[in-house]
Amino acid sequence: MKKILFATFFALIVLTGHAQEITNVKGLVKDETGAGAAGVYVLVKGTNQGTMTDHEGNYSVVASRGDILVFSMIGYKTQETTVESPVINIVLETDAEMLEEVIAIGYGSQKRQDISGAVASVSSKQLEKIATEDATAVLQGMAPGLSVNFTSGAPGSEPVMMVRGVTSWGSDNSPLVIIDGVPGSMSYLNPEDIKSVSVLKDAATQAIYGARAAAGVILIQTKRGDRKSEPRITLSAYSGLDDLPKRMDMCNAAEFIKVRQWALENAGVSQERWPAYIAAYKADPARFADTDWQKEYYRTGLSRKFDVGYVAGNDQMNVSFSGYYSDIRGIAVGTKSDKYGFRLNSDVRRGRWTIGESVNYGHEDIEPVESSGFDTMYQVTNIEPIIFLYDENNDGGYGGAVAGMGMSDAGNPIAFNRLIETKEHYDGISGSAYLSYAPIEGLSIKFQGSGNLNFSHTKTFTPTYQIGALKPNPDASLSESRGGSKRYLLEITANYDKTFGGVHNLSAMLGASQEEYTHSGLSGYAKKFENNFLRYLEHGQKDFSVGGGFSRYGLRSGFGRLGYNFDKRYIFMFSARYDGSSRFANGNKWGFFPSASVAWNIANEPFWSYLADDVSTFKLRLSYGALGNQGIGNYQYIPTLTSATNSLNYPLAGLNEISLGYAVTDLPSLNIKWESTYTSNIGIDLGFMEGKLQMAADAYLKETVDMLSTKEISSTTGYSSMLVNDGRLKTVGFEYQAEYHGNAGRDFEYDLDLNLSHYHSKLMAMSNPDYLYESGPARTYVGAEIGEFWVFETNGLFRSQAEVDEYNKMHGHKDESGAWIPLQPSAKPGDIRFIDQNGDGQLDNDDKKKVGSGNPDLILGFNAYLRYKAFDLSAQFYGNMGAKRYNYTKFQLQRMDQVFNYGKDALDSWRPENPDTDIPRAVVGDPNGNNRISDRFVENGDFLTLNNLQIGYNLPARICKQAGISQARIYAGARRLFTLTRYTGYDVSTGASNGSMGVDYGGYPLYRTYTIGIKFGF
Amino acid sequence: MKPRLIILAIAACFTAAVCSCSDFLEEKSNPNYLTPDSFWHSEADINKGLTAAYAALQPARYWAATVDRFLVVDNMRSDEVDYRPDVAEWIQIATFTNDLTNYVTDYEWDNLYAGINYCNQCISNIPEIEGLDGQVLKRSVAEARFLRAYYYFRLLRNFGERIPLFTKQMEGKEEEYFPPQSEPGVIKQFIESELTQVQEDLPEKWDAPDAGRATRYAAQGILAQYYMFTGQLPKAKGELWKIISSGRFSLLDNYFHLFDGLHKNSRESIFEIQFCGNREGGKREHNQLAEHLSPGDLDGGYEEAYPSKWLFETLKQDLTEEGSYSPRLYSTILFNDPGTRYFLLPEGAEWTDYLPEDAIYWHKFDTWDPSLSSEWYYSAFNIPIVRYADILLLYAECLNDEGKTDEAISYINQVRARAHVVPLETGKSKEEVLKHLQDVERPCELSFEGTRWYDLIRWGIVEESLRNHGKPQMENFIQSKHTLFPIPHREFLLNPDWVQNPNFAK
Repeated sequence: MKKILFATFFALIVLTGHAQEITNVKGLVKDETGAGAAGVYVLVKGTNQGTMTDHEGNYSVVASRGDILVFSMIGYKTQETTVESPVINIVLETDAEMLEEVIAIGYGSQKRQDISGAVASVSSKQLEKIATEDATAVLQGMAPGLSVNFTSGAPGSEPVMMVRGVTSWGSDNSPLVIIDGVPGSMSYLNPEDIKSVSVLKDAATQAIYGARAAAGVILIQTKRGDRKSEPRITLSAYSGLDDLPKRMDMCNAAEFIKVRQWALENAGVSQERWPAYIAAYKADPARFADTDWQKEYYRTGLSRKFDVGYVAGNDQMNVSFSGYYSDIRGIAVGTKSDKYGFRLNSDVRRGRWTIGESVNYGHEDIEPVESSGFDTMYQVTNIEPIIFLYDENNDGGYGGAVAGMGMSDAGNPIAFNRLIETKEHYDGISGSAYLSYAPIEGLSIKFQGSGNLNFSHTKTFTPTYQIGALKPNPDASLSESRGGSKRYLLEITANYDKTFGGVHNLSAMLGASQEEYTHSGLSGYAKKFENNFLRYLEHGQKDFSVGGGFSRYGLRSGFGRLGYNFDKRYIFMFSARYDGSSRFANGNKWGFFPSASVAWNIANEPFWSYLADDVSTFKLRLSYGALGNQGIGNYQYIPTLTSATNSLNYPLAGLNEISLGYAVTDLPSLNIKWESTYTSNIGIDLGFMEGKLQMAADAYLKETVDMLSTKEISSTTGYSSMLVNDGRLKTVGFEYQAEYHGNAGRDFEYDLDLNLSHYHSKLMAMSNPDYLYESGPARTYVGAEIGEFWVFETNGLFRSQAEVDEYNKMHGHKDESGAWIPLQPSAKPGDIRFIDQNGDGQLDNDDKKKVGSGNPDLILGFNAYLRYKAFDLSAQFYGNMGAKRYNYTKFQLQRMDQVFNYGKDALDSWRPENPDTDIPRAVVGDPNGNNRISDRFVENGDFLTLNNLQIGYNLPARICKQAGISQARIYAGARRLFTLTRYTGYDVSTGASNGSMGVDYGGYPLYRTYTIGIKFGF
Repeated sequence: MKPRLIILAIAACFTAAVCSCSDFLEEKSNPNYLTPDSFWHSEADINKGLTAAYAALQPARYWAATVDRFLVVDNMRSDEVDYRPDVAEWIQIATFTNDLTNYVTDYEWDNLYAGINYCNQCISNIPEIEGLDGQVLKRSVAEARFLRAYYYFRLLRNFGERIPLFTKQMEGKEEEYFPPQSEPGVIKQFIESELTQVQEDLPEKWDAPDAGRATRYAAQGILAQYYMFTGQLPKAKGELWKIISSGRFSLLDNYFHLFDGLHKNSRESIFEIQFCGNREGGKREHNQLAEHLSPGDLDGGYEEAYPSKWLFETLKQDLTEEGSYSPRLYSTILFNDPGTRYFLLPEGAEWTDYLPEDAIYWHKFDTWDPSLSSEWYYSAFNIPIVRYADILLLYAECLNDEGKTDEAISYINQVRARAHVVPLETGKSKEEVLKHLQDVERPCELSFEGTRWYDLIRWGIVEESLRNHGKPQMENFIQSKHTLFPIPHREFLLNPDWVQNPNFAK
């Protein structure tokens, strides 16, 4: 194939005439395809006179003969031509260099082909087809090496980002987010504002942020307009319906009574201790409800968002503004979130000076799920179906446990969500401004100052209520807290870029920065209010309490980067950062984090030229460096005496005089220091078919030493754990990305993007070689992957007493007195047979078996964009393969040892008349430990979900023009339309936390959304 | 101004801003806390430190911790208590199917060792304070040593002897983080010598604002309980006699006053755990016993435990001279009888208006007086640990053990007289008196006060007593296993070589 480069044609019609004669020059500017090029700047060089081509490419400008006209447009080579005639037609030539992707890296940017490190980038084009208000969520499945995991689907909750697997075992693993050069938060970022996202993945790119970069850096640039932005106003809106894709099959009232009775009978509980509701229900079921709590609790939610913005720019300045409002009415009753905010970015250029600012304001209100005292969604499945939703005799009007019936204390979750009013308010203001000066060609010096102010305000008013017999609240109470944090950053950087002798490209950067963060908060509480409507602390009448505190850290840094490339073939880059943090004691404050990288751009070698037609890009990259982590709390090295906690106070005479106690309750970490991560990366970039198909693959090894980890110590010390630098963690992984930009004529074009990531994080060493951390089924120990699942192995049920006796005769041990202690002394028919793996006759921790882990082997993103004429389709698939999942919801629904409602599976529990089942017998108290952590609850955690689907129609330009607008689009879409999985819990992807990945405690599930939207530009 | 000068000016300003605060990276202290350096200087500091050591008596580290300790750990296993099939972990303890996943035993372990830690902070730091009266220092250290010995005694009874011993504040050494298990005898010897030694330094009494603090009699009482538990009756007798012969203690006239919260630290009290209902400033110094014992039918009690039928029948035999039920029955058990009344029953209402005809509930530790706390479920009564009636009965048991049966009966009759119960006739055999103490007197007088289970262990009659008295699910009971709790699983993750209590898994 031949690289397509059209020759340049200058259509100059030379006419005779006099110099200095003022004339009206006009003409037509076309692009390479021959179509009229709109929006091309036409300037008279050395003056302020100029114009822009119209929709058809026509222009008209006043100029003198001999003047030079400059034609410029982004993506095309700027052309100059001397005015010799009144008609000058121009054909623009694409600028291959300009078109080439420019990637933001720390404190600067680089062309894709000059990069020697590992960076994944996402452009606004990929993100804008996803209708959401959540800037983090849109990144899921977009960039290889960046995992985005949801902890919860509740309105206002944000997913967690992780770059290249686990970096540290024990401290923070969240990447550093830099928005327009300033550390920021994704919370207040409108996804519409994102121009590009760069994920810095290896030491070469991260080291410039040394101190906090070990867990990765996410660089976000927001839209600012550029020198050639035609003024344009955009308006857009979408509206969606949300629902819960999956519900659990729960017992109804009659079934609940049935199973509850089995459980009591099987435990040998005498009938007089049975809850009274069993007999009462049998006597008269009509006295009780048959409530489907999931149906009452979950509803169709709504999500909406409105955006408005403008952008404009010329050679002197550019400005962009956007504002938005969004709200979500959650799928759980009584939950919602509202968000709004705006962003204003502008830059002004004056000679060698450039000045600009970014101002962002964001506000969020959240009304979260109220807790009735149980974990998240369990409260919906726990409560007995025999309880009425409403009861007008109760204060508040909601039903609950009936007095004297022996019902559980599971609360009516709808009543809690409706009656208790929690409002969380968050405000984030971030402003940054810079002044940059370019004293000589290639050198620019930049001062930047920024401040982030964040305010939170949470208020919970609990009115008087009576939610059944067991949940009385005779006095209203109010707790209110406010917090404010301030972070400022001062920074000075100097950048120097110069090409010597045409082939020696040098770039250097040097900088220093200082950052300080302070937070202070206060809170108040009071009880007993005049009524349920006076909801301010002033009206509280008793049990007052207040709280307040302050926290601070400071960070000072010097950093620099030196890059050199020879003829765009051999690329070298060194960078380093020296950081001092107030989080460490003297002697440990400062850390130095260097990195080096090298790349060989083989495709630019002369010898490659004969292959260049087929393989247009071929680059090898190699990097190595060190990074730091200080992701621990403030003041950790300072010993403290705790006071004013209820566990330390004591009324020394049992009277109302309470003596305040003081004690050291946590061990200080006197010697903690920086955690360091050493990353090696090897990568290859390939481009085929004139760049239509591009591939990048990276493999890396990340080794973290002196980990800021939690050292578990014997609780007989009176302390539970301490923070230390201990251990070594290794993460190896690879990423692969392939993009294909194809078309079939002008009517049909398509982009396909496949990205795959794999990581495996292993704990290599701890000072205690027997180190073992357990959290539910998840274990972490030296030599193993972080968060392996270790569970008891089951071997079916005992079908008869003979089987129990047989098993207990074979398995067990003799105690000191020689008496035989069987393996499962309390087992009965219908109980689970557990395997004694080590054969010592006891079921203990050594009998657990490894059954995989919650970490996926492969994370997959597949994004497709198709356009046919005015129609387009955008689809994003996201999936995990090779993960296990521990299903605590199943545990909750099948446990049958408690007083709560059961899943329908309980009906199939073992009974003498139902011997052929896998579900053990229902029994109060679970004497055999059927519910212990076992393979019963381990499920396949693989999934593939259609994260986003959008089908849009763009109004043809002709109609737009008639309507006086530049763009109009309507679309319909869905988020999480379907998920392919064998997992049986609510949601296969929520509840991710380091060390217990894949352990599903039944969090608020992710919802499915159906959206329609419109977008206008004029 | 030339651009270069502007640059210089800005750079200078920047440098000035950055360098102006030379302590930018220094944190001299955490502004939210005191530091140990500034502490341990005054008598006020001593009291603050000791308060933390006392606070672990309650415990209050999470909601309903008092219920876990005083209801579940101390009473749930005995034949005085029947459980409601509600909380799985509590059922497991009540029915002897508890294993390593049971949080109650883990938390009991953690809370006691936290208390020992707070005591050790006092013990290591108080003697170093300069410029204070030496007596104050000695007395304060003795208080902390007393509390520490009591916490070890609680550990000994439930977790056995193979538990680590910490006698001073942590120094941050690696070996402290992974301590060895004590050899048999070490913990016992420690408890005995500590409680013996501190007696001299502890005061005979405390004035009202400190009425709940440890006296030498409290040390003698706990030491006596320790001797009884370890079968050293002659030694116990000596300690008990010290208390009796002091003449400082006597029985209250009204048995009910012991539990109504209005007669705290009375003349019958030798040591009790203090609670109060003051909720100002977010404080929580109440216990949750009434809330967990009250019937669910009126105002949402959890009725997690009931008196056992055996106890009810036993108490119904506890008759006064007039042949009527004794105040001990009425103060211990709520049932449909005008002699006892549930405090939430509305005025004028009958038992059967709200409660099942033949239901029984605990009355002991299910009381409330509006003067004590704003809500009935913030229980502010104290929990007796050593009370004079117990001392008298233990003393009687020691006398009986020496064969002085009639003298023993005279002490028993002191206790019976207060409850207006017919006196025990003299002339019984040693075995008869012991049987009476085991099956009648101690259950009638001390039920649900956390002595029964440990009494059964020291008498060696756990299994027969439980079986005879109708404890449910006794098929799960293994004598060699269930008189102790398992050492928490978490400890074996750190110390794989530790020995677990018999027949529990690691």
